[in-house]
Amino acid sequence: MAELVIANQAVTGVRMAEDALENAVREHAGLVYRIAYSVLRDHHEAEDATQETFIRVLRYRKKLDGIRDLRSWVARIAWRVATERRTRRSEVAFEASGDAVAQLRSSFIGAEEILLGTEMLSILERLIAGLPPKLRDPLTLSTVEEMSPADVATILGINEAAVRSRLFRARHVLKLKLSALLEGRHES
Amino acid sequence: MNPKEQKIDRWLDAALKQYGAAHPSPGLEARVLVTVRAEMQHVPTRRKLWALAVASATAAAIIAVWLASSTSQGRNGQATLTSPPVSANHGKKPEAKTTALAGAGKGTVGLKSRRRTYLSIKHAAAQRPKFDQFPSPRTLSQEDKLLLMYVRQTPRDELASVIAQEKNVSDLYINDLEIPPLGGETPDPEIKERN
Repeated sequence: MAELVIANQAVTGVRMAEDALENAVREHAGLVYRIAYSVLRDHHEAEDATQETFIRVLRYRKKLDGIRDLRSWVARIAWRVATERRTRRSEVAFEASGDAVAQLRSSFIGAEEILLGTEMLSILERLIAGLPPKLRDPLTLSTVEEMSPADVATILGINEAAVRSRLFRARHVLKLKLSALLEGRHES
Repeated sequence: MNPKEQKIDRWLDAALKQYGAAHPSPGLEARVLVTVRAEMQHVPTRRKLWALAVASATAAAIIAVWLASSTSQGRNGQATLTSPPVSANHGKKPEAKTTALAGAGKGTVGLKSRRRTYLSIKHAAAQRPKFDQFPSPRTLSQEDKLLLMYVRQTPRDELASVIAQEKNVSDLYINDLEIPPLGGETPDPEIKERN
């Protein structure tokens, strides 16, 4: 009789964990995808990373009830999965094409509205990729819609002030690089 | 901040906003759920496979240990049986020795191995040479040989006299000793009374 009760409890526990996991997928799949995409910059890879993230969550499904901030926890796993995938991929060196640089310059000359084409976005991606990881990681995470500096701090394991400071420095470096590009001081 | 810097700043803000704006293709959640559910079903199957692998490995190990122990048991029995047949087993029953040996491992050896040991002992006993005389004749010791040589070389008369001397020695009788008191003193009257 006691064995039956234990077996029932185990089955109920497993079902609850499975329900919690499915809820986590429904609630946080979008966030996980965006984090993965911010790192990997590829839709297919971002989706694969999302699936891998939830498979990793599945391994710890019995602990799901004990996790206080499920969103941050899942986000941290997503970040780890994405960065692991990025390191597997060879880093792309900064090489802005002549057309992209010309487009960038034209958007700054006498135009009030800033136009952002695909080429120009790729310039930004490469500029960000050229940042040191210490500055690149907070900047990448902060571009994700739902991520506040506190969330970024939780994921990276640093304090909020450090996140703000690094974001400021990252933007400063990006501005310098953009200026150099506009003035034709870059090496293409 | 000059107008150019302001422009760069605005451009960067807009670019970073666009940089982070990523929208998954429709049905992402459903696809992830399918993958997760499939993985959930795989996990118990993998566990079962692991359990099966562990169980079979344990069974194999037990069988190997059992076979090794039964083989060594058989060898021990054989070694006891092939030991020197007559002189070493003189006055003792070899079966008793081997069964005692077999009995020592009663706890570990199974019924089958005991049966095998018994059969091997029976087989060895059947092959052992049979003697007409009981107890079987044993070889003479060095002392026995010397005595035999002495008896053969010595004339009969002399032997008879030696035997007679030995008889006389055994017939010797020693009278009770009487010890007189020391210094010729008269014994104490109290002692006399006691005696």
